[in-house]
Amino acid sequence: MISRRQFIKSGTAAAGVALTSGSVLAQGEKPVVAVAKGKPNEIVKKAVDALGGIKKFVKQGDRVVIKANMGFPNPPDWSTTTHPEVVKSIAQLCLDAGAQRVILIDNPLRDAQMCKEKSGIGAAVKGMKGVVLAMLKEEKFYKPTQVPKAKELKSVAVTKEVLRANCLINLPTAKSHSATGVSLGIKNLMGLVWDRSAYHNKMELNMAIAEQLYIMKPNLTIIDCVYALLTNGPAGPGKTVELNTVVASTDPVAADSYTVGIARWYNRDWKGSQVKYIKNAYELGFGEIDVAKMDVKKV
Amino acid sequence: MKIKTFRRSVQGVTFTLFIILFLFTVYPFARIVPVKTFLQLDPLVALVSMIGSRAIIVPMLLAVLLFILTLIFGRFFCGYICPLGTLIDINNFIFFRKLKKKESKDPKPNRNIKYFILIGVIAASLLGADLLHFFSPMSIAPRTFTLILFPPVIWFLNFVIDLIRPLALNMGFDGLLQFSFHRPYFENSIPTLIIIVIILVANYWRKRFWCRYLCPTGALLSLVSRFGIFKRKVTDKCSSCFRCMSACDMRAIDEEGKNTILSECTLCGNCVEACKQKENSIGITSFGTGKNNSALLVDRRKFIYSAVTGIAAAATIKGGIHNENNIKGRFVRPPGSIPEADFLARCIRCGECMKVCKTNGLQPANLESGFDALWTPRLKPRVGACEDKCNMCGQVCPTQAIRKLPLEEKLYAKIGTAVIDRRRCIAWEQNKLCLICDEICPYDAIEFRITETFTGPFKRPFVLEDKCVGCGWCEHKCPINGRAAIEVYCIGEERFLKGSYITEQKKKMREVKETHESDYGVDDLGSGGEDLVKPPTKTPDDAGKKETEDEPLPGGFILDE
Repeated sequence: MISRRQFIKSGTAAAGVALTSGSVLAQGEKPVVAVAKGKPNEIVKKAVDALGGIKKFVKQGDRVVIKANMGFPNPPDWSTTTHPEVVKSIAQLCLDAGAQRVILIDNPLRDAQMCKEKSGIGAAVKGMKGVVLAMLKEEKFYKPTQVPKAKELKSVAVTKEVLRANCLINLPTAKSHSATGVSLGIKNLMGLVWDRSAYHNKMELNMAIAEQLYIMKPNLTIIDCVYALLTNGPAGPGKTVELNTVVASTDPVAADSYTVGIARWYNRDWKGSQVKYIKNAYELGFGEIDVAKMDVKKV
Repeated sequence: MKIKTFRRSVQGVTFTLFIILFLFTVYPFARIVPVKTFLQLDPLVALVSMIGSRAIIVPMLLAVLLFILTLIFGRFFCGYICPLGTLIDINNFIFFRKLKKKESKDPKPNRNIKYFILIGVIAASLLGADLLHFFSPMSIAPRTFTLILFPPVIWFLNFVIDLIRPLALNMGFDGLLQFSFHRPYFENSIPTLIIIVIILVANYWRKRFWCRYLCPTGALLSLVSRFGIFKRKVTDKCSSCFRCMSACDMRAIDEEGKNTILSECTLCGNCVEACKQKENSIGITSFGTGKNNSALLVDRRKFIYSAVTGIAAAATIKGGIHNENNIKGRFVRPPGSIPEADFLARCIRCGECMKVCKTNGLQPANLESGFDALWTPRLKPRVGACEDKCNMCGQVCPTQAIRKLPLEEKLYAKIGTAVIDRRRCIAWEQNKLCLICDEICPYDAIEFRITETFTGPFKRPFVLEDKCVGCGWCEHKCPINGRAAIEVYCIGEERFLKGSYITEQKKKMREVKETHESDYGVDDLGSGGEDLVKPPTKTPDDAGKKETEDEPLPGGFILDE
């Protein structure tokens, strides 16, 4: 245990490799981060268009998995769940791009039917042909998967649908979190996993979260900041702020890191590199953490 | 139409209706569908729960209707409506149809047993003890359906769905990729299973054994059924062949074959069917008891014996240690439950609340609570927590042992308080970055504070008892194997017969505060899981680093960036 932590901290061999792979990314093009502001039903399209349009991610006949945050039976303005308008517009974009099926997935903490109902997402996607709202609350929907490269997350059961999908879109809401500081894109991937309690009682949480990217790196991350929950996350009720923004990027680390800077979490200013799981993901080479090295497109 | 055919059709309709209402006993339909209608019909349930709790229970007044109808038409309820009766008939049709068992001329054993039970049950209710759940068909039938029949059916359906799921997915039916019924589990269903098996198997010995000998609801109805307008008529040509007597499910025909024991007759029509000369018919006669009709009734001595037995049973239940413990508070009851003594007297253990419970958290209490609280609903958060935006249990309770609370009231009805077992909690004992109880709490009643223990300073959970309502989500999700490290006890539960649960103080507690006033400062912040390797007394690296803002921070941030 001790030696592993020091191993990571001191930046020896493995970390060095990770850093170089990170810098390889950085040497290429700057990761594009699209920040769209406006009405909840318009901003998703604006942001995706700034990244090159939905067709870049979704091809004709694709199976698209959208990991929205639908884990709590709270109204959208609590910002504990993804805003229904945002969910609806991305699902519609995928369908327009010719997706054969759009599957909205979460493993909700609370009762599935209640979450569907009270978050407004159930009503928002009702009647959309080709959209399946899947609240996967049973183990049979998950497949145990080995993560050979991981230090903490050696094996984990993930949704079968994610392994089957052509495209994974990560659609979290921006909120504070009492264990990880903030809960954004990479943290949101925990909703595709069956036994989350192992993250808390068997692994180092912040590293395990980052290591999820080995097996389910989203093709596109869109962070819903229509509202952001600044305190008392992840369940709320806490102080919220209406930002009417979405942050989108193909780089999961960049999207998260940029979003850390757009609100004053716990009444303070933060940088992405101050959030452990984002920093861990960066060190493992999954993307860019420095906002100065991102190509931020405000639309 | 033959009377028997008519009866079979009516039974089919009412039984189907019973099952439909049973299946509709689910969120959110229980709010609009009158799912408890059958339970409200039973006059004995009404009588006993009202006597037991010394109150008029308005929804149960529907039972008066059945009482009046029985007075007019006779004991039709048993033959046509009672779901337990129909279940018995179905069972007999399947298993005992070919059984040619001759009814002996002597109707033994004495059918007065059911009157003893009736008197016993009523006598016990005078002392505030509820014995109905062992004897009332309206308690046994729904409870059997909930605890015994429903779980295996759902399991089987899920099994079938799982079998066809891969095929369906390959064919593109993606709606099925997530479809699975929420599977119910119930503790302590074995005693109910034993009761229903005895009821069904006893028919081998006597047809409708339960209805003839034991059912106190039937006994109560039989007291007035003899005045009904429909009676068996026998003409003078009767050759006393006793075919009707053998055919009669209830053995309501006396030794001579001509007289009808009206209190027993359920108007089933078997006698008409069996009559060789086709001379029996159930037709309208005048009111009152005629010469050819007789009734069973218990004599005075037996009346006293039964009353004494009932009172003794009540005294055994009420005088035992279990009752004392139950009243002091043993279980976490569903929100809106009335005070425990009244609750125990009113609850008929029908299991409707357990059927409707969204999360399966309501479980029947077992014998650890004595006969006193057997099968009463209790929240077992390890199985399922109380979903804050659901108030179904109060909606379906026929006797209002659980009050019908509006959602707004229910959100404030405190059923208990969570207690952290610090020796089992991994944040307390093992310095693990676990916050699931805080994450899940719908009422924001868990707070993390930096606390110094032998293993050093770390972020550890505390329960804010003023905010906690005891819903049990923390206990349900606690990642500790076996018993949770945070458990709900009925500490601080609120049990009101009437009145509101909402107070200004409680409302104020729930408000979201602009700045978090708490008793620890940011410089106390432990840096999460990495403290695991810290020597016990050393403070975190960032200790002493002053922050101007007063908002407390979770772990997960790195301060010295």
